[in-house]
Amino acid sequence: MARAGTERFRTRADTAAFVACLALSLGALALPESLSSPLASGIRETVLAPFLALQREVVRFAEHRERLDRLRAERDSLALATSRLRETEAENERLRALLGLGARIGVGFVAGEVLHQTGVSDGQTLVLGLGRREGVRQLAPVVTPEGLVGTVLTVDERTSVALAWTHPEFRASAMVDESRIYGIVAARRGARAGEVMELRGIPYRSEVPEGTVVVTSGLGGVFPRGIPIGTVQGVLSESEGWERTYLLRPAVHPAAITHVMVLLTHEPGADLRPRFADTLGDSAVASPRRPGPGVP
Amino acid sequence: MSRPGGLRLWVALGALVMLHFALRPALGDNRYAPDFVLVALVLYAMNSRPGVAAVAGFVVGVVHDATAPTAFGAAALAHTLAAYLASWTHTVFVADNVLVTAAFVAGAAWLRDVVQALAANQLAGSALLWQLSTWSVLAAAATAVAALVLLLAVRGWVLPRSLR
Repeated sequence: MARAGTERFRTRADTAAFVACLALSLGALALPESLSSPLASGIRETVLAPFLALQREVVRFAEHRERLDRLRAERDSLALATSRLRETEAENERLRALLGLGARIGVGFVAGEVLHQTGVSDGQTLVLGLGRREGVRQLAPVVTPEGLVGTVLTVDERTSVALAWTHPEFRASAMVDESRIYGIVAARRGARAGEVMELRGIPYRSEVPEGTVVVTSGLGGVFPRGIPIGTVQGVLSESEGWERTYLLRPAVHPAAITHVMVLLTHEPGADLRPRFADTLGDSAVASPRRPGPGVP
Repeated sequence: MSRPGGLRLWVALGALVMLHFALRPALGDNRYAPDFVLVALVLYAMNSRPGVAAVAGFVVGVVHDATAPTAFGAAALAHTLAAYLASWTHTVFVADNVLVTAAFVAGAAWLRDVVQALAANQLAGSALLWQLSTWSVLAAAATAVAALVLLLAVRGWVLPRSLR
């Protein structure tokens, strides 16, 4: 009898604990960002800090090993095949883009690892192995050599969280490269994560041909002008006589990247298009508006 | 149901957490790499009473939420549910078979993703469908394989006495 009573009490206690945890979870979901953000930051800087540090070191180790392998392969290739010098040069350029990262951007940036986490939110928010110590600040642009990734959402001492363009709350002021057509870029809600984005608010009178490169406009003060965002794939919808929305193929897929650059400083009115010349050139191959690489 | 806390169980759970951060980044695409923390949580839940498992799930979820603060609470809700149900149902559905236990882990991983995706409300339409029908299924399968390997190696350490 006493055992049955104890078991009944335990069952009730289990149910109570479960209901309490559910209620706390729902309460956490309802927390305003001003409360949840410091709480999340506190957890990252205490409980999670050693684990994120471990993950960062593992990613770095893997990167160094990969770099070593590539450099060995490159050395062997150079030694064995001088006749294939042109191919080697092209490969070298690609490796520079992958490994050197910042050479094109110049000063005012810091490169770091993306510490991917489990769950469905990864790819929409990214944990970066860079923090306040490296000079990262809130709203700093996050890019790769190919183009825009997102912006820094919160900054801790050694890590930070970036809001990728795939997040439904992300917006960027954009312009069609080499023109004065402006619009707003956002992820296409409902599309497969990271696959397509939308360019909204393009005046009806301004037609943007397929293959045109879209870059950040520099308006709004968050992103400097000229970071590649994506390439126009076609008209998505139009309000007759008013505006058009275009479908864009993104320059970067946040879920697949391993390294990023966080821009620390940029002059007001700075134009980064020359820094992303390779990407803009590659994209422009499909564009009727721009000459391709190597074309005078 | 045996009480959790055996030293060997804790060693295994600690090893799984370390593997999550040390090995997982090297296991390929993040979208379908195994979730060692979830394996640890399910195994802990199987060794615990449902209430304790729910609290453990909540704690793991809150820590997980810290890495995706735009949907703070979604992972806590998902992990709480997954852990509670894992503890509550394993005596009914899990036979004395490591394959069934691994499938049970896969189910928990997929359920976690479903609840988290719906609670976070950041995916919609075909994106949500694609995530839950492809990436989450692949990730759940990879997590089940990780659980299977662990169970084959140290089954006596991590399963409750009734299932050893």
